[in-house]
Amino acid sequence: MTQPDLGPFEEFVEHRLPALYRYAYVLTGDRHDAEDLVQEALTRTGVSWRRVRRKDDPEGYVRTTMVRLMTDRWRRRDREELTAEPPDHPVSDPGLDRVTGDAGFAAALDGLGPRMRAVLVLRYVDQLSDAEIAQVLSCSPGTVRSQAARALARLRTTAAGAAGAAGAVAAKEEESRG
Amino acid sequence: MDELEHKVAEHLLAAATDPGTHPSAGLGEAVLAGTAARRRRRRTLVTAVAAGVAATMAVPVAVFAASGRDGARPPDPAKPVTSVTPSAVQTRGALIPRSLPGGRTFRAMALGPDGSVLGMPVAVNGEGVQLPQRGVWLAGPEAGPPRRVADTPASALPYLWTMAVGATSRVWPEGETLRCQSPGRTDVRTLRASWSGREPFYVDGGLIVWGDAERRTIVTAAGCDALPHSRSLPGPLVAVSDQNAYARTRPDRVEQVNLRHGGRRPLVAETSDEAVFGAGPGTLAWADRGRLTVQRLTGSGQQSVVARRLPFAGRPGYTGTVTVGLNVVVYSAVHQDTGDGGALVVDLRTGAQVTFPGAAWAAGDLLLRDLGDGYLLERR
Repeated sequence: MTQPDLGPFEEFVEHRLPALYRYAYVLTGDRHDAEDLVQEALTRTGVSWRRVRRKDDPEGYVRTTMVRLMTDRWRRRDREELTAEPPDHPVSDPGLDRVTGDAGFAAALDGLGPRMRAVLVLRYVDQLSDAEIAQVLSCSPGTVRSQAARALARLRTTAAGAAGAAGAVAAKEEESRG
Repeated sequence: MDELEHKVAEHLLAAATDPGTHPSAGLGEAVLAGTAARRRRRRTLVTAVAAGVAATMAVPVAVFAASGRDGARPPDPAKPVTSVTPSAVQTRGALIPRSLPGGRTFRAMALGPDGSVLGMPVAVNGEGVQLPQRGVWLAGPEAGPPRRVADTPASALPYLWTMAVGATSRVWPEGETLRCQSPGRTDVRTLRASWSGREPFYVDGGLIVWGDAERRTIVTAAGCDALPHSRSLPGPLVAVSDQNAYARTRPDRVEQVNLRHGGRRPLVAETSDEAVFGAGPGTLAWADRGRLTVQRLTGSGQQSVVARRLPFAGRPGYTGTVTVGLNVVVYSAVHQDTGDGGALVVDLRTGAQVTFPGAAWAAGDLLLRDLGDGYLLERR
């Protein structure tokens, strides 16, 4: 069986897959989920390629599709159903943080729900306004603002907790040396 | 932005632009293969069959009287005129259970005017996605479970996006060939002419018909053992019925080509590339941009938009089909992965419209519709 010639879509995939994959990775925070996400979004785009191409921004279409897929469907069971408690407060390990740099911050970001993370990505990576984010996510700008505020509040709490714990560890080390 | 927001932006942007973050080898090929497979499945469902029947329905149903300049009024769920209970309908039809041995589920893919229902088994995964399984199964016209009539190799599963069935033949893809079985026989033949793997095919009367869009030809075979014949076609084949093929020649034109004598008749049909067509005796219909249009080919030759709101129109992942009967046009939308969907049945005699959940097909004087746990085959 021969691979059907998909023409311009094939070229689009060849040239833009790495960048789209990175965007998927930012959205999901997980390499495997990112591959699943970008594959599904690109496949849907390929099926509707003629219509998508007329809109002159196929890459934007794929990115929007990924955001919507993630917020609608990419609610991974291992993160949202199988844990005993919602991951509202990611575990902070100051000792590990000192080794891995900002791994704790990454863990805190990963602990956010898909919708919160999508809002942050659209705001800080795509630099969209709240109204534009609302359009992508099919919600109101007020919901966008509240999701962003809650996400930042969680990250702030994590950061403060990590700083406090790191300070306590440093004080304990200082005390033992003294 | 405060310090935290700067940190968030910095962290996310770093990941978004890190050239060291790259997909695994083979992802691009997987995307292209998946796209090709879904395109084939999508084109399948553009297949039109002939047949008719009336408005039936699952719970709750709404029937709308015809009115307005264009014919029937678009369905408005807020204003149901008539309700029909499922039990009342089921007493008049043949029920085909979907449950197959091994926990698999029968998925109907084609309805013939004699009541033959051709399909394949699927396994449903935890996300509700239907995964094709090996085998071709047949049900109808009597009530009762489907029976297996042929095997399909695992390598051919991605190509099983469409099937066709009629009084003389059952046809399904195997790779880039068409396999054919005559009723009453167990052997399966390979039709002796190439098939692109992407074009829909039809069983119409005694003929098996398919097109080749690139060569602009149409191929016909008078049964599984017959030598196929090829002739030119003025555009992509979009529908076949009643010894007539329909080719889309321009965005505003469809040409009817008679398969016996080659006579041609141009028809005005303003359509986009996304339009799906169906044909039946004396009727051509198409769904495009959320509207269903019917062109009568006899008598007045009237063309009218019969519905302006179609089930799941414009919803990503859903593929539409139009099937046309003697007196009924059916628009059916099915999700490519999960198989869920909805259908609109328009009675051409009265203008009455019915919407209901699940896919539906029309052929001859029969209507087949998906009730969830089974299919109901009705004659009216």
